[in-house]
Amino acid sequence: MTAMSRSGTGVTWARVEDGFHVGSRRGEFLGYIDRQSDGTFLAFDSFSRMVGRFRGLTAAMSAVSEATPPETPLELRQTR
Amino acid sequence: MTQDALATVVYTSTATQPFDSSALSDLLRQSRANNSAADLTGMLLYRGGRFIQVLEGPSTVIDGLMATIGRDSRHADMRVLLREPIAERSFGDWTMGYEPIGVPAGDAPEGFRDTFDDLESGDESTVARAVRELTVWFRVRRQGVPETPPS
Repeated sequence: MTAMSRSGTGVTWARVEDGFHVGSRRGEFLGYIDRQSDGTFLAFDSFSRMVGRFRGLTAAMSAVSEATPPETPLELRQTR
Repeated sequence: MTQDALATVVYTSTATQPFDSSALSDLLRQSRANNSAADLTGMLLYRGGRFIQVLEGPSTVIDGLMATIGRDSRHADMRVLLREPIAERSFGDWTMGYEPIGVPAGDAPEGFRDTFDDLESGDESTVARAVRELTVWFRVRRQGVPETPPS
């Protein structure tokens, strides 16, 4: 799989049916992507709020991942 | 007063003969009428000759219904994928929700899992995630579409 941004780390993507994909991170629901009839991808967050329309699946995946960033690890919070 | 705790069960089975739209309508009508009377809710999928059903409701009612479902000659090879207590229903608006779903034309995108493969993985956390993915899909597809009342 291609390299992901930090927000994409640890995200599990699953295909439910052609064009419909759901993302989870460590057991938590992140959001979903729904391919439209024109070939674009609508991305939604975990509250089913649309976060964007994208030409490519990878960009839609990033948008979903970034809509719910992973928690900052404790050791990084302490150094700030 | 002791209330029967809520539970959910997910099972899969194989249709013993092909189900056309008429047979599916009959099954759903029967299921919705029975579930309405028994405080049960859920979702049914029929995909590639196989059923996947989610049932929610009072734990003892579910156990009784599963025994009845197991004796239904319209399907065979019934396998329980998940059974667990729940705090709230995921399909509270549907006595038995249904949405057509097809078999994908090709492989999943690179790096993607397949929800239906994961349902039968045998790993509890993987199955639970796959059930949640199906639930999300169903709720999106049925958004704003009311269920047909039982006749």
